[in-house]
Amino acid sequence: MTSKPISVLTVDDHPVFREGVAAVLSLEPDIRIVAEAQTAAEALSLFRQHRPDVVLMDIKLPDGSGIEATARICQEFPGAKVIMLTTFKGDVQALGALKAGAWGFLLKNTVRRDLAESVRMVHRGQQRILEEVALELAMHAADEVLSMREMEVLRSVGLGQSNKGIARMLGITEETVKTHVASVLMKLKANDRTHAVLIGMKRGILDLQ
Amino acid sequence: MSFTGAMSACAMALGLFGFLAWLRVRQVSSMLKERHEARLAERDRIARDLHDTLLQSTEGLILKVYTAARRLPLGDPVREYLTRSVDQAEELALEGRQKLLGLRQHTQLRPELSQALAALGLELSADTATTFTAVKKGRVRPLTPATWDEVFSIAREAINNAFKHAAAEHIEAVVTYASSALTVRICDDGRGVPKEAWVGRKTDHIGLCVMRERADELHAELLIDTDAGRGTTVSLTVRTSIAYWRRAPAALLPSDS
Repeated sequence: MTSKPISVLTVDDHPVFREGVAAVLSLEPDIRIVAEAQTAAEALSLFRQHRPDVVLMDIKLPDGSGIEATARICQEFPGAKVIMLTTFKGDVQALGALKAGAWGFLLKNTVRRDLAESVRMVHRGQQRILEEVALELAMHAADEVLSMREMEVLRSVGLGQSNKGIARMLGITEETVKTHVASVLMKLKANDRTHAVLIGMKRGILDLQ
Repeated sequence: MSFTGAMSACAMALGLFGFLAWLRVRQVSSMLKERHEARLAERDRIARDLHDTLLQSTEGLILKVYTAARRLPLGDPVREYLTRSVDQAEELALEGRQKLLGLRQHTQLRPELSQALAALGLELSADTATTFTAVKKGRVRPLTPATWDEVFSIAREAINNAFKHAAAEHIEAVVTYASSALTVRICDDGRGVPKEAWVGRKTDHIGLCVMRERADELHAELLIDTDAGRGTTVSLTVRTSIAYWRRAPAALLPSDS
């Protein structure tokens, strides 16, 4: 191969995981890691400095979420190609990553099989989403999305709050809370509050990572 | 002192005694609640910690060993050995992740107890000839988190034991919500534990010790009735003041009532 290797920036706060990724990619002569970041802030500054072809981004970083970091990089560099790495395949998180501008969404335990090929695909300009994640996305593609308020309400329900407690916390009336809860149940196709919380965890609306 | 005077002194003494007893029960249950909440928070923190550090690093370690294997020539037995080990490590990591997830979901949700036990039994009976049923008696009342967690753990241990050791045809869990107490009974029609073996084993096995400790924590009564050929019945009784939550937040009310 005569062309320049694909340059990669890895963003992850676990040094051993970064080492593992570096090891796997060291098997590929056409891919080269040019920088490693541990935080969202560092990711942005290292991106500016190196302009890598592809970024591998952990979804959870010590100073914020990988989704926000991706959005910031893509705003500043519209051509940036970010692959999100996560341990969790909920469709809502994947959707968030894609909306923020990510080109790929991979699970950490499939890195071995998929990473190198995904880096090449994304570099060529193809999106790369794991089949199992794509399936989750497709299953909920026609679902109505929860509003920010409804997510807040669902989160509070998950914390064991009563309607009254939620009303007090969010500064709205109990009636409004009830309306939100009913709407959440309908949108998630949940039988009751507990079921809604379970679905919320499974789909990545509530953080359970 | 007149007769009526004696009577009223008596009534007062009784009243005072009643009040003190009531105060003590409240004290115990609020202490229990505090201690339990602290422990839950701690458990949650540990689960999060394990997920965020240990599992992620394990994933990295797996990648490193995998890479080392890939650097060996194809057909090298060491390469095959390492590759197999990596697959095993991956399975373990997955199992660990699911357990952590389960831990947090259980502490966060707490479905109605007999439903939770039914789900557990269904899982355990999947590859066996043993059948399992969970029955609910009485009107469902919300349990305090401490009670739910300890009772579920004790019942789980008993059900696990029955599946593992009893060679039973049928295992049944009965959750009774009575106004006097909460009772959970796990019975099987298996081979039981002979009296001699029972008496001889002073220290029991660890599972049983832990069950006792958990029961003590709730000031609950744990009875184990078993003999050779008679199966085993484990029954746990938690008194009302500790078991039930008088004013549960709406989100925690049992979903089936």
